[in-house]
Amino acid sequence: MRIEGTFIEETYAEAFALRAARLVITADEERLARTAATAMTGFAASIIACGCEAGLEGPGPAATPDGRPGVRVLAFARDAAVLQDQLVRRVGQCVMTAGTASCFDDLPSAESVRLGSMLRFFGDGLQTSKVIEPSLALAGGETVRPRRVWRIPVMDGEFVIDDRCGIVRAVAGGNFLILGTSPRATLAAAERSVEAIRSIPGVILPFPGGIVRSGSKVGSKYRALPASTNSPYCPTLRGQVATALPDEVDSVLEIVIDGLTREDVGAAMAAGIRAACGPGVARISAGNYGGRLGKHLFPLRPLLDPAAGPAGGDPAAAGPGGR
Amino acid sequence: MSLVLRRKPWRLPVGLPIDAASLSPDRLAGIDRAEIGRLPVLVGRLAEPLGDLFSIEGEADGDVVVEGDLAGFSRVGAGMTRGRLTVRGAVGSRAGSGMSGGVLAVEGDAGARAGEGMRGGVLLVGGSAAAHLAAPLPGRAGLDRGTIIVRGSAGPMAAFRMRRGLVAIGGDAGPGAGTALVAGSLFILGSAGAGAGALMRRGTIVLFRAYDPLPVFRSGGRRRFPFLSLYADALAAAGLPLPPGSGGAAYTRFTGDASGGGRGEILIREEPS
Repeated sequence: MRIEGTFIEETYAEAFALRAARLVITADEERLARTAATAMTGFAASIIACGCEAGLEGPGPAATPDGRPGVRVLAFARDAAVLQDQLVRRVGQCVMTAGTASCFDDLPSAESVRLGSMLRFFGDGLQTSKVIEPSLALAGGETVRPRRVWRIPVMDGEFVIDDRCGIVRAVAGGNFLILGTSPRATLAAAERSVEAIRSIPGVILPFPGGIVRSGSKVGSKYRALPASTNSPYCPTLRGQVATALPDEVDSVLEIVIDGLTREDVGAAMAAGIRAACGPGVARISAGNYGGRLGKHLFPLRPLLDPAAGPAGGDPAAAGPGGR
Repeated sequence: MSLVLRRKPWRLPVGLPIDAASLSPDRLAGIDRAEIGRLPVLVGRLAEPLGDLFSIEGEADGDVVVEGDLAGFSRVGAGMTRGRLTVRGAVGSRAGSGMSGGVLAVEGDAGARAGEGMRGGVLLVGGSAAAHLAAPLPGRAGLDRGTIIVRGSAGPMAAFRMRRGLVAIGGDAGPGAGTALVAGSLFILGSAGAGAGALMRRGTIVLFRAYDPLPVFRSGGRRRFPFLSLYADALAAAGLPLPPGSGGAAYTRFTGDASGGGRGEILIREEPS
């Protein structure tokens, strides 16, 4: 299968189930909300060492709870306890501290974690809560969402934050590899992918600029390390280790996608791959672990052409990718 | 299909108190029309059958419509826990007394003590409410969860000792609104009478006209309060929109009553006169 001359390998991406939360951060101006959100999602590239994976969701909210400009943030972690811990730390240090910012849950769900109910103690007993009761929602219809918010007094006014934050089972680690003929062409293709994926709702690209250059393989010669550099895909190791790279490939970049649903991740992968394909990009591949670790498999070809095969992946047909 | 009750021409002496607590979706659900017609309505000291006072049509599916002037009927919708009761006219005193769920929609005026002792649910009044809206039951706190929305005005002492929930008054409020407020939110879109928030401990009173609070309230300056947008949106959806721009407007915040701990607040959109 080829798109714009780029060969699509018959392989699949392997993704994992994590818990996710979606927040809306508002402020008097969008740049202030974006500043808070960017700070909150810093150092959140991988759950391996960062505690959670987080980023700004591309499309902003059409309306925000307090009517001010806002941005959406998605955060992913292994379980509810870790996610709560990460959210409390990050919102407490990076949103509550940011000028004029407020923080609202944007993912009503049966399962939730504490957020404002933890941070309220910063108010030193001077915090107050306000409740939009279910009865008011009954009077106002479906557009009214019952919620409790905390008003925490801060030096520029009040920090308003939802008492709890809904969480859902989500999908993290959707990915594809861009195998280019030069570093410049590969980077350009990756940036096209990132731009395309940022128009897809429900997904984030947790790595810097949405691009990963240090893809990893499982295991290491050093026993303390669970993962190490993806040596088969490192062009400088050609001739030194077994390579997965065709002769014409001189650079590889990876796009990693976390999303609220499998469908969101699949849509983002498809949009990103289509945007990447073109001159200077020899192949598109994907990282997987032989189907042994992740619950969600994303075969590339059916994503791009649903008529090409079933959505489920066949690990036996896996290519040599690994992240 | 809704159950529809229509007032029959008055056949009883005027002036007798009428306790219409049986006019509630809880009491009317699951029974046939004949049984509904036999439900007692206390007229003075006598229990009159409901069917003598109202014609009955339709089926009780949790949605009840009562047509006619019930200004002489007290405790309409008392103790409601579910369903919707719509009164196409006025109701007497103590409408929705002790209700804990459901929606009581009164299209006309409501008498004194409407919503007394509410623990949940919604009371919507299309006209005005008389004195002691959301009053406490004797020896108890006032409104403790629930929403009361009055499109018109309210008499004196609205939301006395309210503990939780929301009372929103579209018109003017008489003297003493929010007296001894324990918590919760009181919105008054018209003018507020003297002494609003006296003895309040916590909670929020939001005013949209110039107001001079009691001396036991201290000004905390003027600023925006983003949380008000949550209420602005919810009240607009419930049919009582706040004045345009209220969510993002600046309010002067007064805290008090200083004689009661000073943790309550009065937010005034207009500059005090």
